[in-house]
Amino acid sequence: MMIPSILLQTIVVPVITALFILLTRRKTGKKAGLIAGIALLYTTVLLCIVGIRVYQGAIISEGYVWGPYVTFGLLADGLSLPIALIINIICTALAFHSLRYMEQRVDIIYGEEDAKTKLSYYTTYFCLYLLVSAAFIGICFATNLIVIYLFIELLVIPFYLLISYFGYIERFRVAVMCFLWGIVGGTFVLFASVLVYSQIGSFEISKLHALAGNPMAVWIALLIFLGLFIKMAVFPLHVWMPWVDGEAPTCIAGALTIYANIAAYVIVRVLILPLYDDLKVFSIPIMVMALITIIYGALLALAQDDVKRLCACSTIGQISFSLVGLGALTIWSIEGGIYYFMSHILGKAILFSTAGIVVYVTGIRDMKDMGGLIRKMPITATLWITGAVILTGVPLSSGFTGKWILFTGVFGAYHASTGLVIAILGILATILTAAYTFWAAKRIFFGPLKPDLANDSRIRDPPLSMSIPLIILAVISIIIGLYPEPLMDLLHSVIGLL
Amino acid sequence: MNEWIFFLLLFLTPVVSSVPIALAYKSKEWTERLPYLSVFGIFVSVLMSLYIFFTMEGQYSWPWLGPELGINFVFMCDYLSRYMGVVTAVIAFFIAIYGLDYMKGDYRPSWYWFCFNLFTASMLLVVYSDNLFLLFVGWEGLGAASWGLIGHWFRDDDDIAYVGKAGRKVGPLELSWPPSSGGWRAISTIRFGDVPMFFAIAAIWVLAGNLNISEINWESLFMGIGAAGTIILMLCFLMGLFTKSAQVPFSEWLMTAMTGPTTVSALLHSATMVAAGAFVFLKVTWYIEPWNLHNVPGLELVYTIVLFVGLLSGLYGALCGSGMLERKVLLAASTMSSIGLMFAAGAASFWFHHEIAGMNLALLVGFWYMATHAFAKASLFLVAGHLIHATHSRFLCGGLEFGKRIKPAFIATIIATTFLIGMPPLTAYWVKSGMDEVMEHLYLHEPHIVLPIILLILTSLTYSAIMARFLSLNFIKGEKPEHEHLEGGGLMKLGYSMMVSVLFILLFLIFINEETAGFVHAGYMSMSFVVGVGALIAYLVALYVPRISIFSRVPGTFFNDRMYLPYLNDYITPKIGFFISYMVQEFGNRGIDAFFNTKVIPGLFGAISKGIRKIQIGYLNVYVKIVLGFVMLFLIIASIGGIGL
Repeated sequence: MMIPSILLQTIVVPVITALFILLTRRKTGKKAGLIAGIALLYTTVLLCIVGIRVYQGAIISEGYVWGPYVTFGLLADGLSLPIALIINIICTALAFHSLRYMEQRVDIIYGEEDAKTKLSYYTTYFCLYLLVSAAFIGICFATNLIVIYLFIELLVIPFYLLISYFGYIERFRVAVMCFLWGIVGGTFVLFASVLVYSQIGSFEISKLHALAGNPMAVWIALLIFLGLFIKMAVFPLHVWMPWVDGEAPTCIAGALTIYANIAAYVIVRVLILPLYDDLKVFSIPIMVMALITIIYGALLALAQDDVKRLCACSTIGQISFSLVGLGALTIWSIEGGIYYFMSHILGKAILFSTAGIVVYVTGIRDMKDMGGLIRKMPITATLWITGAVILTGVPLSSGFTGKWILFTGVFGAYHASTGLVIAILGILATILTAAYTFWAAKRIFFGPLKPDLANDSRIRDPPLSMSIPLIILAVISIIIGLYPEPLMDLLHSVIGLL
Repeated sequence: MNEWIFFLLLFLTPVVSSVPIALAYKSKEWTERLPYLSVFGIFVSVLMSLYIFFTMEGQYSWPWLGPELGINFVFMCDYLSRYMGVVTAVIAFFIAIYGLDYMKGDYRPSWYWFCFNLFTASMLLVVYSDNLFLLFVGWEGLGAASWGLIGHWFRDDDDIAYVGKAGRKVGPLELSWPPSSGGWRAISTIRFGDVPMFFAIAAIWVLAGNLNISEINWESLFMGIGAAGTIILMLCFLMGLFTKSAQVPFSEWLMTAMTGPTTVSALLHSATMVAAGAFVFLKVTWYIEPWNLHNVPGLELVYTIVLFVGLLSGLYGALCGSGMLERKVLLAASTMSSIGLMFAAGAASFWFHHEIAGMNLALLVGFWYMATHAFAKASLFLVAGHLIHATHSRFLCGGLEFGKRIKPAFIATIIATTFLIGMPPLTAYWVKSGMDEVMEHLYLHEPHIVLPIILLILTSLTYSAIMARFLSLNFIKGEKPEHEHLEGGGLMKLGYSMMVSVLFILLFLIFINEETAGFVHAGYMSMSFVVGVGALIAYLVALYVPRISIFSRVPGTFFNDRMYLPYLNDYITPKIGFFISYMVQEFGNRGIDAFFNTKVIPGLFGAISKGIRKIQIGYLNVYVKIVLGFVMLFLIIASIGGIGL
């Protein structure tokens, strides 16, 4: 028997839980994090149930009337479901990871406040965090443009509050930056949605194919690309990313990576699937922009001494790997792009959270002041290396399989000189990725232990509640790296229809 | 019969058997007991490799990711794999026995044994894989495990694990490397080559539609992409092999890989890692059959490049070794030299058509030299490890008195060096005679170039001298060691004694095998004999005069400093990289950042707020203008959008 409104539950349960925490904050207190984690665990289970049915060939859809023009529809198919599931797993893991992290963060920022106020901030964090998770799932399952737009914009508000309440250096300025860039990006999507309505009289994604061949389709695509490229931090629209991702609390930085990456899914859902032929004109420009961004992001990452900034700059480059795949417009490259997106958010959640652990334990962000930490933090070091391995694409990790699918797809479209240029830039980018991730590993964890760190007895691996969620993410990455077939089957059931 | 069980046991047993010690990393008691389980895991691999050697032949495949991606478990039990599998497993097993003693009391046994066994399993995967994707999995496993092992003593707190004299600077660069740098240098160089190799494999899949080395139609693949395509594709693929095998200019990591435990050095240099590059080259060439593809444009250039990279690396390594005073680094340089000759022999197959028992003699020479070198070099490394333990010094030292007190090591060194240098009538002599014949062919027949044979002879003579130098300065004419600790080490002695004894078996095999008859035939040629005698003379001279004071000062230092190639690795390349990233950060990104965050956004807000204030001034003409403006804007949008009014 199917659970009623199962898709709606995956969005509504976190929202209701957020409201519950907000209203009972005095009573729930420090249990708020646990409640949030359990709510997300529940939605993960729901998504697994949906996943089994979708894998068996079913397409699950739910429709709710929402005003005269917009139907609030939800759709779980082979494309939206795996993305929603992976995102929800990451959100769940990060919720448990942040239980201890946020205690310390609140203590650092609001240490002078009384216990009640501190508790209030602590619970606020989990309220907002749940809204972020709900919005992600909303984007994945949404069936019309306005709802996608609403969820994209809805994300901006909790992120704004989370950064301004719990961020690092210049957190208020950075929060405004996040808000503004988010709104601007979303506005382009809104313009495009209105234009779509003017052409086909509907916001429904399922009706977008009616735009195929329409001269306006190119303009609509351009507007959506512009809006989403801001989200994806494509060069030169990336300026918000190093600030926002670098200065947000590290568990939120992991969610911000999803926020930026999810645009790849939106591109596939609202542009590539319905308007495949109209997009061919964008193929080369998108790949050029993506490749420039990959190299740029990697070079930027290499110049960083701040461990959080390094992860943030790395996000700029890594997202564009997916974009290369989408730009090539072959079935394999698109599937590879989406696969890589999932791999990247897994790897980046691990890497960012590990950076968070290092900062949490040592209170240091500058890698020049670190070194030899593996001696005191072997589990954390292993997690960082695992994150590096996923991002670099070492075999048996999802990053490797993702790159394989992505680039074989790209080479399938471009053999000759274009393929060669893509290959050379891809090689350069991957080498640079290896350079900055492993170089950082060496700076943070290897070599002699600095005397200050050696004498500090507080420096050790963090509580298991912080590392186990990340270990689970690493295991998932290895599982889908070793055996990507179920995931690829799901993606192929939708993208393969092109 | 389910053959997959044998492959599963072959690859997985070493890894699975080392998991318990990895998990028990906090327990001193268990980490002292569990290494035996890890060694047993490798022993199972030895048994499996022997089973495969004697009973299995041909291709074995099982599905993995399906036909759409071309990725399956495909193993090839051909001549090269069957022999190399046994060589790898046996060497790893002997080294593991040695390691039981050598690593006793180490502060990270869990890390060591897990990485060591992963290293062995990865190499076995490389050896037997026919599928390029699967091979690459093993290939990267080698890289990851080597990084873990080379940087094993990551605390950098013991000078004995360093390479180079601490604090010695030449120009702006300190020519001294701790283990953590050694690990980083290895992984960065290896990844530098692996990435293009990965892209080459992806391109092969797209272009050929098959990833199985033995099934790819190489001729049609090369013909389809033309000369430029063939050269680029093969060079990308070869980048992985050259970096892994430490060929010039990617050799630096190998020298500082000596910061790892000696057991790691032994395995790295004999049957895994550096050997992997040369082995994969031989394996791929075996199926490309370049001697039949002279019609393919661009392929000759590829093989010419490999030939000269190999020969120049051979000479470079031997020359550098002649100036070195660190035990393991000297051996590392000699390994690089030997591996270079393996590449050169394999590359010469393009012009050398001579076949014995259906196999190309040049490839056989390359492979048999690899096998001989593996056992001899592993023996020498294990001896070096024992000497470092005994003298607590990584530098060459030890006179005859000391040699007499450490007889097993002394004898093993004599055997290993003499069997390796190509002195008649010992093992390497016959193999190198085959190599002489191949290089002589390049001069006398196609492509009529004399340089290969000259480089080979020069390398052989220098190589003999450095091997003798190793023997002499450790056991005969070296300085008296400051410390002597000769007790114990039973398993260490057992390890290198077993290892060196295999050289006799190889000698025997050369004489009885059908396919190695060509080596014996070449050994009776006058040219080979002259080179062999030359090698013997060079060996004896260097044994007698291991250090020449005039030579030591200028060229010796130059060679000891690896002709200042570290500058390329540690100074020029990183400086360029960091300079570019600095420019991107300081001038590119700061500019863009400032433009958006301090000009565009505040400017936009300023303009909007100014506009809003303007509305509030109360002049009617301003309001009329605004209304008219909106009407105009609406009309323009309506006409563009085609919205009917």
